[in-house]
This record gives sequence, structure tokens and C-alpha cells, in this order.
Amino acid sequence: MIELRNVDKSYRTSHGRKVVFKGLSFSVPPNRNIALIGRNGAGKSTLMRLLCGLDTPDRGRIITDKKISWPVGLAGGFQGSLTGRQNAKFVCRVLGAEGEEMSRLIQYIEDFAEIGEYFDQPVKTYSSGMRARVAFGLSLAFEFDYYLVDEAMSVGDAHFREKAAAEFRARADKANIILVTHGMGQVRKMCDFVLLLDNGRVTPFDDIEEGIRAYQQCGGPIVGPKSQ
Amino acid sequence: MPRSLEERSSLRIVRAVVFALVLREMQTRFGARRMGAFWMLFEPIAHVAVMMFIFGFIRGREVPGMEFPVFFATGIIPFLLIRNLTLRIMDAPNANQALFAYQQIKPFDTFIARTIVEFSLFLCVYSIVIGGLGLWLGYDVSMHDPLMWILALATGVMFSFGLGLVLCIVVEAFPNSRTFIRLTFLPLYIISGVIFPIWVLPREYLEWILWNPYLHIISNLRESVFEHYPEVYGISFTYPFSVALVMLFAGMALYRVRRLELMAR
Repeated sequence: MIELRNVDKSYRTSHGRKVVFKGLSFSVPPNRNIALIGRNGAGKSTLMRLLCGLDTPDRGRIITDKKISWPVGLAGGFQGSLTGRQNAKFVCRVLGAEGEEMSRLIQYIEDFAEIGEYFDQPVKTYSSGMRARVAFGLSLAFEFDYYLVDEAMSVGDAHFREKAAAEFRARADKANIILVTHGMGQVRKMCDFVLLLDNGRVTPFDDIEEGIRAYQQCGGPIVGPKSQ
Repeated sequence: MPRSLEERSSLRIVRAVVFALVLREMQTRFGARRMGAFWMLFEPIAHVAVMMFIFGFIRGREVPGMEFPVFFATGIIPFLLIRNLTLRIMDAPNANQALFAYQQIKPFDTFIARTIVEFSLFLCVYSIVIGGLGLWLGYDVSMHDPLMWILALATGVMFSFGLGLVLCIVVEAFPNSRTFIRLTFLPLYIISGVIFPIWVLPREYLEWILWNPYLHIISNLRESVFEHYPEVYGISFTYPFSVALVMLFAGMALYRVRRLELMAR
């Protein structure tokens, strides 16, 4: 269960305050795989940052008893000059895995990423797909209730996407996914709940086809940030 | 098999995070160039050596009762530590922005980690330079009052840490001030009495630069190294220490208020 109550969020910009959400309230029933869809600039990233605790609302509350992962995206906090292995070790240390346990996790990540000897090359030499593989393996190495997947699924190749989807199916009883995407095929394949973001409002859809239809209808030019 | 996330006490999390950050910082700096470890130490040593050469041999500067290279080294190396510390703490959250995605990592951890890294680097450089001067060039490098030295250095680190915190918040609120702050750190070299003994200054100028806590810290450090360091007008132990306490308090208070803004950008 994830619930947002009256959440306000705005950012300072050089052109005054930009309001992203005002009085945002919605809730997500437990054990659903959520697709977070919306046009560019609809506030997906902001909502994502709020959900994983990277940012705090100006007002209102986010109520959940679930562990939500960091966003599994392209950046992933990787240091370009360090190798994939060094970056992975860093995260293991931060999350409290040491010694034997760390080597086990690193092995898991290496196996999952399947990038061969690139695992010991600096991350800056990686392609975006390779980055996504490591980032994905890294977050899957830890048990979260929700995995927040941003971009990572979109850049991987078919084989990798299939592997990731299989991993989630295997964990279906313990873990769910929050997928931020523009690919409706992925939504159909992996999710059973849609959160549609449009103009700072969130509409939940129990039926994903209905959600996808609504998403396709809300096209048109991007409305500029609302100033106050 | 994935790992379940167990509950950990805050202290254990901070310890794990700081350890991870220190290693990461070291790896990044070592790995940035070929022979990174060598350059990391060589750079400050070369800096000190060149300055020593210019002021000691070319300009023939002398400090009565003290050997100039030792006088210079005991001032400039700690000075570089406390200056770099402030600037690196100021930039710490910015440089580690992406890491705050991991909820365990807070900006404060990056401050502690950078302090540890800078301090270890300082200890290495200091030992190498002083050891080189003593063993190789045969200067008398013995320390007159080690406890006082530690106290003076701790004051310096405390002050720099506090100032770094304050500047970090300032830079976050006014990003344009970064260049300005860096510029104001340039003349600090001169007005902190690193290159020349401050007692040669006329009193009317000295009174002005006595406001600078770095001046006191550097002078106190030297006083604890040399047995025959003269009594300098206006230099005290309590002034830099109280300024350090105030800075530390102001820095932590500001951090507490602005910690969320530091993480999110």
C-alpha cells in the first residue's frame, strides 16, 4: 500500500517557483505492478523522486510501510572512472554487506549483468545498455518490496528485458515493480495497474487498457510550467 | 540469492557509508591517472618544494633562530590541509549528488569522508616532507611540544570543517558565489603568514590580519614545533578555537535547516 495525501511540491527556478503538484492525493492497492506513464514534463520524475525518498514534499504526506528501491536508471550514482565491480562494491558496503556476503552479491550482479570482462572496466566505457544491466543487477541483489525502474528497461536489448521480466515473475509473491516508461508494450507485459500523470494530476486505472487509452488521448503540445 | 535488508542502527549505517565513501574517494583519485597514488602525493610535495626553493634559495629569506625550509614546511602543509578541506567540503554534496539516491547516504557523510581523506593525505605528505628534511637534508625537525601541535591542528580542522559547512549552504543557496569564494581564498596564502614570519609586520597591519583565524592556527602550529618561537603580539589559542566552535555550530545549524535542499537539486 502506497498512499499520498495532499502532497504539494514545487521547485525554485530562475523564472520563479514552478509548481509540479498541488494537493495530490491517490493510493495504490497492495501487490500490484505499477506503470507510471505520462508525457514528458508531466511530473513523472518528480513523483518518482518523492516515492523513493530522494525528495520530500513541501506539504502533505507519503504513507507507506514498503521498502522502495532507488530509481534503477541510467545514472545510478555510478562513478565513471571506477569499474562496474568497484561501483557495485560501493553500494554493497553502503547497504551493509561485508566480506563473504559481499563477494556473493557481487557474483550475483556479475552473473545477472552478463557483460563479461567489461565488469572490470571503467563505467564510462559502457554503453547505456551495459550500464542498465549493471544497475539492474545491483538493485535486484537486494530485497525491496518495490523496484522503481526508470529508463533501465527501455535501453536493454530483448534478451535482457526478458531476463529482467522473468526475474520479476519469479519474485512476484514478494516484490513488485514501479515502471516509469513510454513503452506501452512493456506496460502490457509487466504491469497490472496504471498511474497516469497529466498536468500535475494523477489518475489511477485498475484496467491497464483503459489507462493506455487515456494516455494516448492526452497528447498534444506540452503545457509550460505553471507559475505562481 | 538476493540479500534481505535488515534493520541497522544509525551509527552502523553511518560507519558503513563513511567507510564506503572514503574508499570510493580514494579509488577515484588514485584511478584518475596512471600512477594515481604517486601523483596524489607528488602534487602537494612538489608544490611545497617549489615554493621552498623560490623563497628559501632564490630570495634567500631567513627566519632568525629557525631553519627556513622547516619553518616553511611546518606552515604551508597544514595550511594546504585546512584550505583544501574547506573547499572540498564546500563542494562535497555537489560532487556526490547522484549518490543521495541511496537513502543511507546523507550529505553529512560526504563531509566526514572527505575530511578523513584530506587528513590522511596531509599526514602522508607532512611525514614525507618533514622526514625528508630531517633524514636526507639533515635539518633539525624535532617537535618541541607535540600535544600543543595536535591541539592547534585540531582547531584548524574544526574551523575548516565548520567553515566548509557554512560555505556549502551558502553555495547551495547562491550558486554564483562559488567563484567569488574561491577567489577570496587566494590571498589567504599571504595574510595567513604562511610564507613570512608575521612578527616582521608593522603592528598597524598586524592588527587587521589578526582577525584571520588561519593566521593564529599557523602561528600556533609553528610555536609548538620550534622551541625558540618568539611571542607574537595578538596571537592566541582561544581566538581560533572559539571561532571554530562558532563556525561549527553555525554550520551544523544551517545544515540541519537546509539538509533537504542539499540533497535535492
